[in-house]
Amino acid sequence: MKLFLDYIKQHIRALALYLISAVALFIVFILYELNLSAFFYALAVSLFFAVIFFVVDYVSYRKKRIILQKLKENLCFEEKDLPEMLFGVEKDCNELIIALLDEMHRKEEVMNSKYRDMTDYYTMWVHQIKTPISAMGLILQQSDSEDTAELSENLKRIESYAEMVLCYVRLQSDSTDFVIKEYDLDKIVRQAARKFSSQFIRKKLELKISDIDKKVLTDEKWLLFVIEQVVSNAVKYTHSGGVEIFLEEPLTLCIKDSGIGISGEDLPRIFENGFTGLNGRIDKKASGAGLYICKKICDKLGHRITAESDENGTIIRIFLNSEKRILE
Amino acid sequence: MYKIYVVEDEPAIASAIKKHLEKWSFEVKTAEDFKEVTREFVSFAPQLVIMDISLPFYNGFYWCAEIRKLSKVPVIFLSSASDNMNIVMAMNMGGDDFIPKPFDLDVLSAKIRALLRRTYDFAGSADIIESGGAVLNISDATLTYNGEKIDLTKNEYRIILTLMENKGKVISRDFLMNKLWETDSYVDENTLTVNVSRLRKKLEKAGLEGFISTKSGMGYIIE
Repeated sequence: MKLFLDYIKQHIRALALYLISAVALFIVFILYELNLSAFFYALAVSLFFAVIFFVVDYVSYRKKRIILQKLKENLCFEEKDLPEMLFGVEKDCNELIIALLDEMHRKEEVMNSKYRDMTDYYTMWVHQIKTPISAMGLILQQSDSEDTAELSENLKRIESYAEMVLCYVRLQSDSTDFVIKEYDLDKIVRQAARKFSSQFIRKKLELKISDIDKKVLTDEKWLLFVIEQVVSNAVKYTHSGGVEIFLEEPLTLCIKDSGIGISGEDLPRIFENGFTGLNGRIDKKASGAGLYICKKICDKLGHRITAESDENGTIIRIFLNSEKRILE
Repeated sequence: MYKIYVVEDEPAIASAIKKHLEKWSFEVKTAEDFKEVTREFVSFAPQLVIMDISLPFYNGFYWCAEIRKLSKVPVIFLSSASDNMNIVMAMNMGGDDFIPKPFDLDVLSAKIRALLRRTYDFAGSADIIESGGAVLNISDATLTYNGEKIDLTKNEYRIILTLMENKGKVISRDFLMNKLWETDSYVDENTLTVNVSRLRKKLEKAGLEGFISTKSGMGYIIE
């Protein structure tokens, strides 16, 4: 109905002209005392043709408008999707749209290529930096003293920051290198926890891993990264007691620590990018990116991640049984 | 005496590997001329090759293929590019195993021993460490002294292995605990103390008194 009214409004001048012509002719016929029935007959004939003309015109008008309105909905179209505009203002507008589309694609391509260059650079950087890190790690592995222990600790931190760079950069692209398969959860968790053994030992914290002998459908590399992040935080913010890792039904991995906890105001925001909160500000080494990356990875893998906390500690839950999955 | 050829261009990594393997009585040569890897391989005639993938001339895959033309010697690839693609490539290119960097030296030596065992089926000549008459057998985690076998638990074995591997050096309690954690045994201070004293009792029963000495404030040592 709206389209019809629009059409009328658009052709109001044509209609007005027709009406004025009819009225003018009518007046002339009267003034000239001509046979009015001739007028009405002529009017009927011209009305007949006018209606046919307008109906045909309206149909093509309606078609074009429907196409254009649909295209507006998601703006994801190409030149061939536009309705044919052959004349005047419509044609100019159409050509303008096509020119803008081209420009947009060009800019998109430039941006993608810049992005690819950056990813390639950072990937190469991480591989390059892993070499001196390995070399230092090996040298330190062979000796045992207070100094080498501390050096090893710091080296591990450098290593984890470098890995985080790679994760972050890879996550920014829409397509990621996920390999979804069934894996032993137990193995992944233990690998993650082992990474922090020296910190657990230094801070005299306990580590308890309960029966988590289940298989999960996930990407091993990325899930490992998430669990490592969570455990790293748990160890960082716990000064006595320890960390407990267990499963809740149906397939939820829980990492519980007896640490200083996350404050009430901070808790809903911990997964935000760059958010460091109260604890992060006191411990100035927090970048605020860790949990943000975790949440992004979990979203992409279809796992939900939640946090619960009070002054006795924090529990992070990763729900590994999601039905939603991003399949290749 | 098994010979191992290490092709790694990063000097610190190459020498760390060499030092560690020599502790295990392997004869180790590190590659010197990276344009002549095949020639060095032929003249050294090792029983196993450790090959880094990123090298100054060509790459690890190329040299492995060259070596494969002449020999079926086991090859372990080392790489910092631990993405899925390279692991598959490594296996397809004739490699027998693959370790991503950064790696643990213990893991490397365990893989080497496993490969050598599979390839040469040796009776364990490189699988033992000896000190003061006590012989530690890696393959069955037993300690033998005066012909008597001493059974060890997983933790006790790990402790005495670390101490014997580093004979003559003081090993801190933290270092030992780290080693135990690597085998998923999440011990704390007390558990470590208990394990060490149980181990000592077993040693005493077999006649090895004072085998493990305590350096107070520093750790343990096997002289």
